Amino acid sequence: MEIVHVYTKRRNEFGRQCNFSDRPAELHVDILPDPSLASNFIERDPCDVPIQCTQEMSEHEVNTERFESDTRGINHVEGGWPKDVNPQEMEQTIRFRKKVEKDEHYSSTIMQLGSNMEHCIKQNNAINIYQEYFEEEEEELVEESEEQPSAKTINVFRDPNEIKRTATCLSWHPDGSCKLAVAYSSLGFQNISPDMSYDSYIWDIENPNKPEMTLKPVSLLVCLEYNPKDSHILVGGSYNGQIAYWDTRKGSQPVEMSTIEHSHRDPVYKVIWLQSKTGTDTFSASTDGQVLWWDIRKMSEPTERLVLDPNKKGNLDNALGAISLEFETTMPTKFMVGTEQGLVVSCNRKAKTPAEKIVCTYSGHHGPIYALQRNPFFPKNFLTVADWTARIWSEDIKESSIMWTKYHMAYLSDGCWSPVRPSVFFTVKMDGTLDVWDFLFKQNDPTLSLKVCDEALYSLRVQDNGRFLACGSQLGTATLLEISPGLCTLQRNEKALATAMFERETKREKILEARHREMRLKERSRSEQSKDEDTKEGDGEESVEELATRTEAEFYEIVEAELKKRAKEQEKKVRRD
Amino acid sequence: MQFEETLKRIQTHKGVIGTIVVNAEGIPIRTTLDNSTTVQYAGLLHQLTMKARSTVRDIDPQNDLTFLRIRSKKHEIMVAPDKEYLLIEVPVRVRQ
Repeated sequence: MEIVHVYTKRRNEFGRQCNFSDRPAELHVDILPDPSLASNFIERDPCDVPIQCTQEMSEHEVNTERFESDTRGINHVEGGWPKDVNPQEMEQTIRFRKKVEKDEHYSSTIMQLGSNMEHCIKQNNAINIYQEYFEEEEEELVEESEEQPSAKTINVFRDPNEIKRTATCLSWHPDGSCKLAVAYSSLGFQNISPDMSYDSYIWDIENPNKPEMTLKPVSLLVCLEYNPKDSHILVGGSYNGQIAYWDTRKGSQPVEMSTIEHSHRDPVYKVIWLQSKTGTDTFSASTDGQVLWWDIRKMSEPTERLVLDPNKKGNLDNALGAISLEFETTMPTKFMVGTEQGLVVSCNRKAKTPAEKIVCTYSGHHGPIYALQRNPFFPKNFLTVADWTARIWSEDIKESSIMWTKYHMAYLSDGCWSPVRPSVFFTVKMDGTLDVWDFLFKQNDPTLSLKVCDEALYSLRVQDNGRFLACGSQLGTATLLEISPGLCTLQRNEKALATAMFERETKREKILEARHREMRLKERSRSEQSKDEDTKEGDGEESVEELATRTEAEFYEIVEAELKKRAKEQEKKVRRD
Repeated sequence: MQFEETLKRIQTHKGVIGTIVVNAEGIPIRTTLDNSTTVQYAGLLHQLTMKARSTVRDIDPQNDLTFLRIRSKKHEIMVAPDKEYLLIEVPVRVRQ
C-alpha cells in the first residue's frame, strides 16, 4: 500500500523564492500537573545509588589497513668532497689530504684520540671480555628447566580475493622452507560461484602482504605438492579430477595437464610424489575410488590404475572413495589409502594381479579418514585422523588401533607427525583449535591446545625442521606458527621410550585380539551345537529383513520386561509407604 | 710529526687490521685499507656516530659520546669521535 500525498502548484510559482513570515507564539497544548496521579506511585525509601570515585574509561579498538612497505636502498659511493676537488683525480685528493694534515688542530686531535684508542686496544688484547666461562653448566640448566610448551603465531597469510575460499592443502618448499604453497578450493557441494577466482598462491614467509607467485589452474586446486627432488616443480590435483604440474620458472600456467577422459571423475583429494630415478612419478587419489599413477612427462594417460574395491574384483561401483594417501620413501612398494568409508587400505604396488594389490584393510573409524601418515621414526606405526578421534595403528594389528585419543567435541580435519620427535603429533579441528599431542608426556589430553582462529581449520603441515607449522582455515587464511623449542628438540631416551610404548600397546592389542578370537570360536561352536540339538533348520544366513524383524522383536521384549520390572518396584515402594 | 708516530704506533698494535681518519664531512683523510672499503666504512660509521652522539645527548644534554665500540662475529670496530674528526679502527677479535 503506497502512501501518497498529492498537492498542486501553479506553474508560474515554480522556482519562486520562499517568503518566510513571523508570527507570535501560539500555545498548542498545556498539560497541568495532576496530583491525583501520585496515588498510583509509591515512594521508594531508601534509595540505593552506587557511586564510584574513579576515572571513567572507555575502550576502543582500531585496526588500520595493512601497511605495505617496500625496501629500497641507495648506494653511497663517495662524497663529501668540497666543490673544487674532483674525487676522481688522484692529485687533487692527495693535495687536499695534505692540506688537512698540516692543520694544527688536526694533529692535536689525533694525539688525543690516538691515546684513547690505544687504551681500548690494549684492553682488548689483554682480556677477551666475551669469553664464555660456564658453558657446560649453562647447557645442563637449559635441559632441566621445564619450560611451558607454547606456540605463537608468526605470520598470517590471507586470501587476497574477495570471495574467500578454503585453504585445503599446504606444502612447504623442500629446501630451506622459506616458501609455502597453498591450494585454495571450495569443498562444499556446488558452492563455487562464478566470481570465485581459481588461483592458488605461493607465499614467501617473510612477506604476508602479497603472494610471491600465483598459480592459475583450470579448476580449483584441492591439493598441491612440491617435488622433493626438484624444488621448482609442483603438482596439483584439481576439483574437476585433473592433475596438473607447474614449473615455477615457467610462470603461472600449468606446464601440462592430464586429459579429462583419463583423469579422475571426482575431485582429486591427494597427490604425492614417488621415489623414482627420474623424480617425475606421482600418484593421486580421489573419491571416485581410483588411485592413478602418473609420469609428469606424459600426462595424457596414467601409467597405472588401481580400483579400490574391497572385494578385490576391480569393480568401480563397489569401490571405496579415497581421501588420503600415504607413501613412505623407505618402503617404496607399499602404500596406504585412507577412504571415505573409514577404512585404511594397505596396498602393494608390485603385485602381479589387481586382486593382490590390496593387501589388507584396517577398520575402526566412523568417518572419512582425512589424514594418514606413518611415524617418521617408526614406520610400522601410523597415525590416522578421522571423525572425532585420532588413532595410532600398528601394521600387524588389523582389528583395531593400538592407541587413540578420546572423542572430541569437534571434528578433526587434519593431522601429522612431528618430523623431529617420535612421540609428538599435531591435529587441527573444525572449531579452529590446534592440538599438540605428546603421548610420552600426557596420554589423555593434548600437551598444548591453541585456538588459532574462529573458523574451522582444514589443513596442517609441519616444516621439516619441526619448528614451524602452517595451518589453513575455511576463509583462506594460512597461519604460520612457531612452537617452543621444548616440543621440537629430541629429548634424551625419547626414542627408547617411544619404542617401548609402541611395543607395549601392540602386545596388549594382540592379546586382546587373541582373546576375542577365542571367545568367538567358543560362541560359534556353542551355537552350532545348540542348532544341531534343536532342529535341522538353518539353511544359510538369515536375510537382512528377517534379522531386522527378529532384532525388533527382541528389543521390544527387553523394553517391556524393564517396564514391568520398574512398575513392580514402584508398587513395592508405594506399599511400603 | 708527532701524530704520525701515534698513528703508526696504533697500527702496529696486535690484531689491528686497519685505521681510518675521517673528517667532519665524511672524507677519509688517511687510511691503511683499500679505497672502496675505506669509503664504505667512512660513510656508514660517520652517520652512526652522529646518531649515537645525538642519542647520548638526548638522554643527558650535558653528556657527550667519548668512544663507540661495535662488536660483531668477525671483528670489532672502534670509533673515537671528536668534533671535527673521527678515528676508526678495525681490529680482529680472537675467540678463545
